[in-house]
Amino acid sequence: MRDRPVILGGLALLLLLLTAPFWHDALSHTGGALPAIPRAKGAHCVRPAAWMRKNHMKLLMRVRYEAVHEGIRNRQESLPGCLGCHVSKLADGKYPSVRSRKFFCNACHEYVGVRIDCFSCHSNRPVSGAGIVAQSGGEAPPAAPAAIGNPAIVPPRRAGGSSTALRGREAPWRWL
Amino acid sequence: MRAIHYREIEGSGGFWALVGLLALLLAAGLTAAYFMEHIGHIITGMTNQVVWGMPHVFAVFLIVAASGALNTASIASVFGRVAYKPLARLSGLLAIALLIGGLAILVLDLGRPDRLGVAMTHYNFRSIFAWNIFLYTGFIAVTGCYLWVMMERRLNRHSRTVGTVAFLWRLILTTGTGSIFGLLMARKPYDEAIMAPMFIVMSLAFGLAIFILVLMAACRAGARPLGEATLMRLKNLLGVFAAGLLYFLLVFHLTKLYEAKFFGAEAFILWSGGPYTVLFWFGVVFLGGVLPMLLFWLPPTRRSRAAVGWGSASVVVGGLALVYDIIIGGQAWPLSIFPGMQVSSSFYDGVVGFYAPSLPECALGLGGCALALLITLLGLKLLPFLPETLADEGN
Amino acid sequence: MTGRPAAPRDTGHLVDEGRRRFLGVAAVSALVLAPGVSLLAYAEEQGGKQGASARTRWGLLIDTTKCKSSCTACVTACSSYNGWKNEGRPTDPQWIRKVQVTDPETGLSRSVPVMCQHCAKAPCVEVCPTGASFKRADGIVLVDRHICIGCRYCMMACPYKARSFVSEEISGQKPWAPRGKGTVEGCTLCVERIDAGQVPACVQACAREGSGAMTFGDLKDPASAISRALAEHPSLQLRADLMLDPGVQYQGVP
Repeated sequence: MRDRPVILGGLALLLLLLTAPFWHDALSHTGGALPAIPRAKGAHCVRPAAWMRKNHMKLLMRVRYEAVHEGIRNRQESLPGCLGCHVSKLADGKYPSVRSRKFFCNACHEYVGVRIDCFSCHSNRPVSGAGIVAQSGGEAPPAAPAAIGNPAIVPPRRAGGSSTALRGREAPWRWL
Repeated sequence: MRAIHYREIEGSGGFWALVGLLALLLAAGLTAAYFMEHIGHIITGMTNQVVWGMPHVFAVFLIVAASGALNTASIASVFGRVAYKPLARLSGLLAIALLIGGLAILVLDLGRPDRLGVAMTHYNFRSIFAWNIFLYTGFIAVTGCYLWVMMERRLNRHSRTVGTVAFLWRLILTTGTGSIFGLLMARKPYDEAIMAPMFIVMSLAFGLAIFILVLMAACRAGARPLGEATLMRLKNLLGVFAAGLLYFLLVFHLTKLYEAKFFGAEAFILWSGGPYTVLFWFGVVFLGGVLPMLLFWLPPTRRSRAAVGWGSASVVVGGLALVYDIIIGGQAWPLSIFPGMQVSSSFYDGVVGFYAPSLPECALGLGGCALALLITLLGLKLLPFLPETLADEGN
Repeated sequence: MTGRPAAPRDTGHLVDEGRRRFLGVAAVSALVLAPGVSLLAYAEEQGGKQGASARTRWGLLIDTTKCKSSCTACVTACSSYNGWKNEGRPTDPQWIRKVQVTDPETGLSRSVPVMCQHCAKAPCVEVCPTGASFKRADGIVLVDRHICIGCRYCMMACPYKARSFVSEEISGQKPWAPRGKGTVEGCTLCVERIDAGQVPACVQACAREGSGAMTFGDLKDPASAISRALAEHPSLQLRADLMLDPGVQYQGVP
């Protein structure tokens, strides 16, 4: 019986911790304001924005499997392709660092607290013809594959909506 | 046959001091793992020539020993040797503790330990590693069940069945561990089917040696009498296992010496490999086999309890030396891409791979050992694993 | 069935149709789960983009009689195209290297470029626990570095020391060649270039700046340059005794 205060106190602490996602906004310095997402170039994305917000991970996983395992490379639907429209130079002429809120992916991901590690391996810069020579320190390496990340090449819209493309098409290893 | 009463050991100043020391070692290991993960393996001694280092030496040793530590319980349950029955619970606890310690080291040494979830969900079943993931985690589960049926009186009648499952499981597990190396046809020091049964004998020797040391220490700490008969029985068994290991090593190396293509690799280990040769003859053969057998069976020391302890410790040191020679010596010997030719390149072709253990690696390895011992100590403290007395009957 | 009029039993008839349709869909779904069919389905969806196919097997033929010891065009091209650097440290990656091979009895010495041999029965593919090390349908052996956990077992298993482990943080990766700390990497046969219809960087550099020792092509096409060269002059595979059937073959190795 004399343990009751300790037990109740512990339970209260646990409850507080479990409900933290709901009240911590009041403590954060942004006051829970939605993230400022950098504007992208071009008229429209490869998918509608609402769809992308919900399903971009599925799209990335499918494109990743197809590109790596099957050699199906769709220029617009690739990570460099995304960066081609969504990443631009800042006012000081540099590209935003992956960890900064001015980087497109990180603007939302930092807000929701979901860590992404794509850019520990992938370059965070868009690729372009002139950019390649500058990035390689002046000497042009053998020509990069022509169309990777080239925003000018847009594939035809799939008939029947994009959701059919994902349903039942998950890579075999995903079934485990 | 009197009933066996088990009791937790009491804490004492010495006990908590040891727990504190082990916790510090564990913290050191975790710190090393943190830096290895954040900065990269560049801070270790592992290179593109010797890709597995001290962490793997410790991990493989612990995992092999874990399988063998369960042997005592198997002898009791599966083979019906009643005299070993009081030791069965400690045997199970030690098996789980050693395996968790070994697995912790392996996982923390991965290049991408954050991808453990990927490892748990993507399997290539042609790989012995993938099978080992199931075998290792399954072993913990099966041994857990085994402990449960041993410790819950109402389920004691299932000890034999579960014990047999555990026994077979550990044979398959150790075969799998040996096959990690035995199935590698690319490297001359490996590529032998006998490595699988050799690992089983290694497990019997290392596991029992650690079991004896832990038993002696636990009985002293818990003030439980440890009878001569029990100790001598275990000592004789360990002597047989050490002899068995020497036999397997003999067959392994003789077979390799017979084939001309393996001669270079064998010469490297057996006489021209510098530290690896010293480790082999002094560490593996003498400390791991000859000295324990002398201590256990020569008249002056064969009844001595201290000799049992020193002999067991010697087997442990010899075991570490053997695993070091297998893993690191096996990688140091260069690949033979152009057999019979002299080669040189900017990627260290044709030269013996240089490896020196680094501090983070040793810290990680020792941290895993500390974790295993911590689990054992805390288990002994919290649950009744140790019998109240192991004194000889009729004394 | 005899003597009874075949009265239309609408609901029963519809239910039968429904059952048949269900069974049909179930059977087709089961077939679609088979990777081969789903690959074809993908291909149609992609508007004809087939991706890698087993009808092709990419191979490399290297004539070491043309390789000069001092020439490192292939190594330089690979390293600048893929963004790796080897500064001599034992932890530095090396996707392709020139090995100076000397016969101790005769003194004959050749400089041999060695890279991932893209074996048909690659041991690295067999031992990878997660399946990250895999062989594409067209024979190229790759590491899916999204799934690689960095256990380095493939490096233990490779007879050619083809793979390197990335031991430190990397920055400034080439957009077409992502690479990162904690994963294993190696020669990709410049797979993204092959998919775009070009040849690997080393082959191109050898042709332009080296001595044209490298021939790249489809081993399954008897009319390709590489198949014709293999049919005309004897060639060997490295460690042929292991029966791994590498896609890279050599001529003139001592």
